[in-house]
Amino acid sequence: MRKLGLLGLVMLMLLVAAGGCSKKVSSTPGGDSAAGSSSGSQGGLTAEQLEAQRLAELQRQAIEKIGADKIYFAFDSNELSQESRAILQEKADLLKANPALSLLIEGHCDERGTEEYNLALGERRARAAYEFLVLLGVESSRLQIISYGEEYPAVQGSNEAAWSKNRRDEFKASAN
Amino acid sequence: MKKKLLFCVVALLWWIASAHAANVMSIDIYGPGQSKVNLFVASPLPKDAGTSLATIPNNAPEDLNQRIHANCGFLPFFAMLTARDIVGGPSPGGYVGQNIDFHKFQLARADIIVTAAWSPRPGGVGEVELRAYEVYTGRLVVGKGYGVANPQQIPEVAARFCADLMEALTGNGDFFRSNLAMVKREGTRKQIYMSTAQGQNIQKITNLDGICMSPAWSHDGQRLVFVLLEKRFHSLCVWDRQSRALQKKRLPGNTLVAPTFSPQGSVVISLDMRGNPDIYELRSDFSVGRVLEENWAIDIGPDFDRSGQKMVFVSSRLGNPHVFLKNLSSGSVQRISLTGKYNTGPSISPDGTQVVFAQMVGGQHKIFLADLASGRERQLTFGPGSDEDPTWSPDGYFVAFASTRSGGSQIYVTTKHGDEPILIPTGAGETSSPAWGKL
Repeated sequence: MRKLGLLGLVMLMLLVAAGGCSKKVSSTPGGDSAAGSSSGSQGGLTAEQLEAQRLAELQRQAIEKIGADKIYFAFDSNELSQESRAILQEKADLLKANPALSLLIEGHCDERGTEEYNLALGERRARAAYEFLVLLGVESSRLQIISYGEEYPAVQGSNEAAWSKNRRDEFKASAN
Repeated sequence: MKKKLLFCVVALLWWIASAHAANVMSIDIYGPGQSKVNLFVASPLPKDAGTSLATIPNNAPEDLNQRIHANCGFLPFFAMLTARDIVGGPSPGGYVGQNIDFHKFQLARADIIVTAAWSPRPGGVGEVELRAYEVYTGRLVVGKGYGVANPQQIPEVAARFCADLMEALTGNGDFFRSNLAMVKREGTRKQIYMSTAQGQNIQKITNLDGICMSPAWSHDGQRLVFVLLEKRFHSLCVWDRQSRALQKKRLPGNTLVAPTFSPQGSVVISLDMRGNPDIYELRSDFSVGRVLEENWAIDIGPDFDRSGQKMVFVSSRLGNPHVFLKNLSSGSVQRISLTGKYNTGPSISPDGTQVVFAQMVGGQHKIFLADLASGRERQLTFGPGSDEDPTWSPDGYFVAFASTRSGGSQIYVTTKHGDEPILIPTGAGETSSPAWGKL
C-alpha cells in the first residue's frame, strides 16, 4: 500500500510536470529545454530566492510560449503570412520582456522538393523570421538560425495535410 | 599497393592489337544510335582436360561466372544470351579459339563469347584465364589471366575483366574502375557509405551524430566532402580515402549547402554569410576565398566539368529553382533548364557538353538531360516514383540517381541515352545522394 502511495505521488508529480509542457513535441534534435528549474518546497527561502524563483518560472513560461506556435509557409516560398507576422510579434514581445533569453530559429521544408534545395529554402524561411524579429527590435545577437531542410518532418505522410505542417519555422528559446 | 595486396595478375596472356583495327567490332556508346551486342558467357572449364573444377574451392568458378554475367547486365549495349539460346548445347567445346565451335554461336546470333579456364593454385583459390572472342571472326578481343588468392578477390577479378572487355569494345572501361559514395539512413541519423559502381565492396565511412548530406568526390577520387547537420549548426566534413581521416570544420554563416570539389582540388560550397546562399571557393585551410556566384537569390549545387571552366548550379533568381551555367573565364551566366518550374541537382558531364538534373513533373522529380551545344532538353527517366540527384560517371556515359520507384529511396543507373534504369544493390535501408568518383 505504501509502495502504491509512493507510485501515485510520483505519477502525480509527472502529470503536473507534463501539464506545464506544450502538447507540441519537438521533432528535431535542437530541442534544448533550458527552462529554469522550480523547486517544490518554499520553506526556508529568502525573499530574494523567492523572487528568483518567480522570475525563473516566468522565464520558463516565456520559453514555452515562444516555442508553442510555429509559423507555416506555402510550397517553395519563404514569404511570411499575416498570421505568421502576428505570431512573430508575440515572440518579439516575449523576447523583449525576457532579455536573458536567446532564440534558435529552425527552418524546415516538406518532402516534395529536393534535399539540397530544401536545405537552402529552410535557411530562407528561418532567415525570414530572423529578419522580421530584428525589425521588431530583437537584438540580432540573441538570434541564431539553422536549416534542417526536409530532414525532420513534424508530421509523417505524403499528402498536403502533412506537407503544409512540415513547411515551417520552429522556435527554440533558451536562457543564456 | 592495394592491387598488389589483393592479388597479382599472373600473366597478360594475349593482347591483340588488332582488336582496335578498323574491321573489328566496336560499340559507339556516345553516338546517337547505340547498337546491341549479343553476349554469351560460357560455363567455366578446367584448364587441363584431365582435371575437374571440383578441385577449385568455394565454388569460385561458378561465382566468377555469375559476377561477370551480373556486371555485363549493367551494360545496356549487351543483350545477354542464356544456355537455352544456343542450339546444340551451350558448351563451347574449349576455352581457346581453335577449340571453340564458333559456328553454333553464330547460329545463335551471339556476337561475343566469354570463356573461363581454371587450374588449382596451391595455398590459394586458383588461377583463371578469361577470354572474350568475337564470334563472327573468331578473333580474341580480350585475354587475361588472374591468380586468385582468396574468395574475396572474385568480385575484383570480375570487375577487372569486365573493365578490359568494355574498354576493348567502347574505348572506355572506367565504369568498372569507379566507385560511388552515397547516404544511408540509420534511424534518425544519415551516414556516408561507399561501394563500387556495381554495388560491390560496400563500406561504411562515417558514424556521426547527425545528418550527413551531399557527398562529392575530388576529381582524383582521393577525398570526399559532405555537410553534417548537427544540433545547432552545420559543419563541413572532408574524408581522406588513403588515411581514412575525417576533418570537421565550422564555416562562416549558418547554412552550408551542397559542397563539391573544383578540378584543381579546392572545396566549393554555398554559404549564407551575406544573408542568402552564395557560392564560394575555399582555400586549402578552409577559409573563404573566391566568390564564384553571388546573387540576392538562392545559389547552390555547383558542379564542374573536367576543365574547371564550366560551372553548373541552381538559382532561384527567376522565382523558381532553375539550372544555370557559368563560364568562369568570361563570367557569363546562362539558363540551362528551359522547361518546368522546379529544376535542381545539376551534374555536368566531364567533357562539359551535357548537363543532367531533376525536374519536377506532376509533383515528382524525373531526370532530364540538357545538351549544351544544341540547347535541347530530353527526359531520361519516367518513374514511377521520384528520381533525384543525378551524377555522371567519370566516362560520361552512365548517370546514377536516387529513386523511389521501388518504395524507399535506392540508387539506380541509366545512361545518357536514357536506357532502362538498373538497381545498384547497396543493401537494405534508404539510400540516396549518389556521388560518382574514380576507384
